[in-house]
Amino acid sequence: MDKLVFLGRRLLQLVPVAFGVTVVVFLMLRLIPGDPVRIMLGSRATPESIASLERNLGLDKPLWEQYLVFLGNLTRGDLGTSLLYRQPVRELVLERLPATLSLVAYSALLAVAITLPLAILAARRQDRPADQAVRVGTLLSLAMPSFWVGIIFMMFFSLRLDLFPVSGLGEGLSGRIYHLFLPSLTVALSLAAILIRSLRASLLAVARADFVDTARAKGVTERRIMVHHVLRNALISTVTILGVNIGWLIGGTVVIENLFAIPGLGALMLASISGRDYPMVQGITLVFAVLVVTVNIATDLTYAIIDPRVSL
Amino acid sequence: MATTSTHAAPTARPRAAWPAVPGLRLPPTLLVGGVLLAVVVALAVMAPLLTPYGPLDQDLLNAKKPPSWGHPFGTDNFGRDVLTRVLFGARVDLLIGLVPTAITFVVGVSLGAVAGYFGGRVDAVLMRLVDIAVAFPFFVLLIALVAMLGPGLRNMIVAISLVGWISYARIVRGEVLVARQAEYVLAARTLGFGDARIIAGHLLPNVITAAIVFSMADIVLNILLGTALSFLGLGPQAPTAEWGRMIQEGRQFIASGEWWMTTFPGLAIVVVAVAFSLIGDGLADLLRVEDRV
Repeated sequence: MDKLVFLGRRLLQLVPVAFGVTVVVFLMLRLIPGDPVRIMLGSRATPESIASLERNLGLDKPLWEQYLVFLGNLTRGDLGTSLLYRQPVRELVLERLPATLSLVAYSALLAVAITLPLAILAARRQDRPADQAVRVGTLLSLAMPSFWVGIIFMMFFSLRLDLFPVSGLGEGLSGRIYHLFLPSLTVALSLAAILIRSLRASLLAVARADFVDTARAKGVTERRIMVHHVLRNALISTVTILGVNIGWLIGGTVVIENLFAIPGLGALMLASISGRDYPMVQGITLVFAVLVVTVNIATDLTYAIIDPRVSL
Repeated sequence: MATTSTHAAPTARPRAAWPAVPGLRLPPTLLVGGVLLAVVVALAVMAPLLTPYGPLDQDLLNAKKPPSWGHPFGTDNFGRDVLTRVLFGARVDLLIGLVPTAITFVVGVSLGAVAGYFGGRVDAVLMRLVDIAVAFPFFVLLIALVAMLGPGLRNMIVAISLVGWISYARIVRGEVLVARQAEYVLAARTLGFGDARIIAGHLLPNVITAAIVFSMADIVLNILLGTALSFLGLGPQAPTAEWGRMIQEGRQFIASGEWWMTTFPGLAIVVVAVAFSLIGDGLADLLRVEDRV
């Protein structure tokens, strides 16, 4: 019951956020210097096409009315029409969404798989060479631009060792796992660096707690203390950090999709930008925001479920 | 947080004393980072003296040459010297790191302090703005903003500034919320000092360290974001020597084995980012130590 109240309150907090997000996305078109219609149409501009696009986008109406129309369309799931593909933005977005979601999920998994052993190693060997090495590793990983890391990976693993493909999605599940490995690893590395730092710190903090001394006094083995007492408690803060950073993870996929030619949302967004397909850019930005908000709520819920003390 | 520091204090190993300034012990990370940054800045400033080539000088007969004594970082597809372009690129990329950080620092700290101090409606508005901003993936919002404003160095800096102040506002607001209850603020108020004087003269000096420490990480972030935008073609346009752009331009030649065009500009980014990160870690160390005394 408490959890339901929590969920309800959390969803209620979303209303102003959702409102604000739509305003930002709506106003984005106003940032275009000059006449957006002329810019969008470019060399295709004729007096007729300008007038018809203005009518289509509702630009002949006052601003607040335009916003209401925009909002009304959104509630019907209408994200507008792509100028470039002459198709509903929603269809194009839904087509590209699975590739981006696989990349995000795969990266998150890899990041956790890298984080757990390294953070535990660093915490158990605090201030010793292994810990120092992990710390230098995270420092470097956070200093490296992901698009550059991706290129280095391509040059080494794909071109030199011929282990992985340089681009694309692959066929079937195994093909996807194989094709998306390098791009996901690239995205995962910077996230892992953040997670390792936080998990290492909370492992060290939890290890000083009284209940750990109690467990040790009862004769529980060090291994069991680590897994059942320390790690379990330290993971809670790490889940939060993962949730907070999912926005980064999602943002990071845009560059990586471009680099590895993965037909996802980010790649579509960049193509739309070079094609001056602004309704598409708007629609994709909105979908990205929806993704982040959804993940954040999911994180809060996970948090409430794994930690019984939480009732925010 | 307070409990961890009291736990840590007795076990902290004595630091190596740096005798340069008596009484002031600088964390080694701060020193290493500072020296690294000083070297980068010196190289950027003295770039024209250090290389016989210009960043835009083409030499098509010597295009795509691997590193050699004449061209330690090789040449690109137009025969331009990669080392020269990396050196001149430092000027642009340091700008990309520093300018938006300076703007967002000032704006964010001021807004955060005002919101935290006065609370009420000002604070509510600010916090709603924060909620909205964090609903977007930061980088996606940046890409969209630059796409609308039009690509280029100036618009890139404008876009980063439009969104980046939020973090500072958040940090400072939180600190001010706590600090405004402190006795020294009460004392200042009792003395009849105005709000502006209390915020600027009393609160800010006490809460600004967190923002300063964060700003170092923020510089790194802005450099990474800026070079990424530029890699996507949304930053400074060709033929500007800028690291993200250089990596973008060199990318098509990795398949034919010309690795130097992408590798060296990337390494330059890493060096600058490491320098600022080390300075940030060192500052955090230094300021925390002073807090305890």
